[in-house]
Amino acid sequence: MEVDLFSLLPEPSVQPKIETKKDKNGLFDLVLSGLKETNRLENNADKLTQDLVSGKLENIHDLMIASEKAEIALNFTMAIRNQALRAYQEIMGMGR
Amino acid sequence: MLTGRLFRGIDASASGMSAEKLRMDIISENIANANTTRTPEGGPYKRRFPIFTPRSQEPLFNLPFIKPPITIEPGNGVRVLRIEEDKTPPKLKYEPGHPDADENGYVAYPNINLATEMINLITASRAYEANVTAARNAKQIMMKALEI
Repeated sequence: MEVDLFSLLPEPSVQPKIETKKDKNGLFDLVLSGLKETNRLENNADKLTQDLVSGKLENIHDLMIASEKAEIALNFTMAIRNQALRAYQEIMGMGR
Repeated sequence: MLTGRLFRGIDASASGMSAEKLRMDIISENIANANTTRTPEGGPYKRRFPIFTPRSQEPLFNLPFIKPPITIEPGNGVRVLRIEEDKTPPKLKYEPGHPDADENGYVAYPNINLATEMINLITASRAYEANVTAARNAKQIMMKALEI
């Protein structure tokens, strides 16, 4: 009985596998999700402002805190974006 | 993802502000009704006060055989459990001509002491200010971290 010994071997990889899985924790993804969260907080503050002008708002501090949160989130996102941009420009400037 | 725990301090302060605001509202109600002798439920107005409880994410009832978590985490602020009525008896004043007087000529006035209410009002507004300060502090710390 003949056994094809080659069939038992693992297939040689013709070319190294390229990692195509998207890295969801990359710096730019972080900036994007930060932007999304900032947008959500801004929308929340907008909604509370509309509640205020239409008389539905019960507590003034809810609006103030929502807008503070939006401001802080925007500042955070801008900080992350600035860091990411600086890193990018640093890398692009390596060749020179 | 960004704001899950980031704003926990501010959220706690916000809940404290809401609770103290409600307390001030109730005290204002008490002061406004300090001389109310007739209510839909009958009898004079009864002093009201809120009962606060920590706002936690744990279930309110403990299931058997499940150990409560050992670690103590920073909570999620305060919430108003319910609003209770003061059970102390009403103040009786002798006013025979009053339409709400009983057969002996006494009128039942609410069990509200204005001095107590004013003190509670000041306490509540100071507590509100303390929450505002805590929230401002939390914000300043976050802004400070961005300067790194």
